Amino acid sequence: MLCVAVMDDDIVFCTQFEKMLQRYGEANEIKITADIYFSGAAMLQALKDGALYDILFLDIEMQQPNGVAVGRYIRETMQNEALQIVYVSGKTQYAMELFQVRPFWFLEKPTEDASLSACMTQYQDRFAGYHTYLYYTISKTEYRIALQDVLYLESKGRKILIHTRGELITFYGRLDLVCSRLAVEQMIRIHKSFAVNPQYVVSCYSNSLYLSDGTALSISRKYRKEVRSSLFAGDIMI
Amino acid sequence: MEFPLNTSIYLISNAFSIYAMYQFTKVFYTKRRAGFWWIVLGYAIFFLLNSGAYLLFANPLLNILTRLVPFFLISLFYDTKMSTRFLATLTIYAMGMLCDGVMYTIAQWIPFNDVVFSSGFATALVLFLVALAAGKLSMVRSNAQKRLPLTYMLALLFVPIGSIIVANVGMGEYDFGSILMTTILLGINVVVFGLYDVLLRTETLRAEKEIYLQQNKYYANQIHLLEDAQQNMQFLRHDMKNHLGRMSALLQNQEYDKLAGYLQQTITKMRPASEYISTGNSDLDCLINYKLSLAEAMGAEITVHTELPQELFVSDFDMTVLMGNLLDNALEALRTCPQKQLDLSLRYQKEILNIGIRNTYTKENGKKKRAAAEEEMLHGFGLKSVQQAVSNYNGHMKIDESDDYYTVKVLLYRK
Repeated sequence: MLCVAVMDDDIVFCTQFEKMLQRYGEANEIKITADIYFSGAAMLQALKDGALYDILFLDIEMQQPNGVAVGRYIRETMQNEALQIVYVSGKTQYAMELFQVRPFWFLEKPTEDASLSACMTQYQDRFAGYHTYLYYTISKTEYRIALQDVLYLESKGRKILIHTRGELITFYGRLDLVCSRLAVEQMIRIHKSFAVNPQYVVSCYSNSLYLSDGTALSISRKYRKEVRSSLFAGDIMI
Repeated sequence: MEFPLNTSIYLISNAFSIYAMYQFTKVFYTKRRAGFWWIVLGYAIFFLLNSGAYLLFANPLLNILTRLVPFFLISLFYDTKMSTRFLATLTIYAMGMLCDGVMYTIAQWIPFNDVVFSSGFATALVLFLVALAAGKLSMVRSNAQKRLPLTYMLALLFVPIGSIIVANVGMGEYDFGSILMTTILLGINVVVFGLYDVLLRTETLRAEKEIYLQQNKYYANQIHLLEDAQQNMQFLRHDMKNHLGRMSALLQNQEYDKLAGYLQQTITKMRPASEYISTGNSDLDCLINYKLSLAEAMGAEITVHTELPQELFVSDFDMTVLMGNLLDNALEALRTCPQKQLDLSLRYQKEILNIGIRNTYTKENGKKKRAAAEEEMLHGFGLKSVQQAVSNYNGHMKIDESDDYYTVKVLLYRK
């Protein structure tokens, strides 16, 4: 089941879009629940009240707070990188500030079923397996943490530190073994002592990368090729 | 007094041979980690240590050490693998030894005068030549643009060889005249090879000029597109009232199908047929629209996907070279393919520019490579140019040749 929110001040558009989502859901046998918001303020209030969504479709061309403002609130204030944002716009010319919110997709208005379908299919392909967990043991008790909440793993001596949005979890383990149990799209090894969750990477350079909490990590020479291959992977039209 | 004059010639030749070693390092190291002047300082210290050891101590082991160790330390100023540093230091040192050996052997057959030979003048020149040759060879491999005719290169060889001959004839004794001659001849060599570099730069400028001429073509095309769009808009604006009237009538008559068709027509008119992308990057929009319109004229099935900010960190020039060449390559392949399909995607994510271009092609090994080589000679461009543009952004390129599609993926980093 997918929980989706649509934010646009154009009532006609919202109704149409909701119908398109239903059509997609029926055609692909997925249950989709869509909440509609006509203003940025309403959307922000809902998020503050703890509403949980998988994807947000946000309009850019509307009164403040608009899609960009909402996106920034989600990434910067809520520190949430797991919530996927799709910007819907009547223009194809995008300002740089949009990219800093790390949207998942851009949709053009007027939106067609085919474009929405491509977007949703991509979401399914990339995030379907995202409710996986990282399991670890402390004092003979097994715990688990959703990968969605893990920013990066660090190995220090014989211990592994799980850096999450909130706390830091330490347990005995070897980074090699832990990474081998996870798919490479979920946790990428970038250094002898570090592996990162790609979702939390906000900018990537040839020798280093930055995570959403400001941490800068360097990509060691040994792993540069691997990191590159993961960036090269996938169909180009996606 | 022989001593100081002898020494002076030795010092000048040694400086020149160290300069030759520096030229050689260009084959192995490219990325500097420290400022230019630090490296100059490094070489100055190297020169002082090496010359000092040789003149003061005359100990063979010390000579070797003062040649290898400071030179290796200088390599730490560059960003490369440790193994490359060892390889470079040892190779360059070995080349020096080799030149020494070669000159010694030649001296058995050809009577060099003592001054030229024992001061290391001839050896230094030969080492310099070898360094330059190695440098040019490695450049030729990496960059098709910088290629000068073989005749230029052969003519250039005349200068160092001639220098050795002149020195041999002219430098009879260790006197002031010999010092002057050494300095001037070595100076001439440095100047001549410097001029060669300037020549290369001119060639590059000529290549750039061609690119600008190409760009003008793209702009001309874009203007046509804009004119078309303008005309369409005017048509719509004038008749808007009529169109709306007609649509309203259809609505009232509940002729919904006709209305849908009419609306679709109007929407299509709003966008000129050949405008594939409009990212706000005018040069890029121009180029891609132009190239894709050529593909369309060929009857190709085209899909484009762009997600780009209006301000790209890649310079317009590099984008033109990159996309121009990639698309030209694709168009060339489409020409000889019965089923034409072209997919293009340009994405900006996490401060990385991700470009993908996929096209159908006829997989005939020999023919394809020959055609690509011909293209290269015609414009001096090609995939090698793309590689140069890509490396400007520490980027990478990956090519996939499957049975049906030829896919090129390019990643460009912001730094």
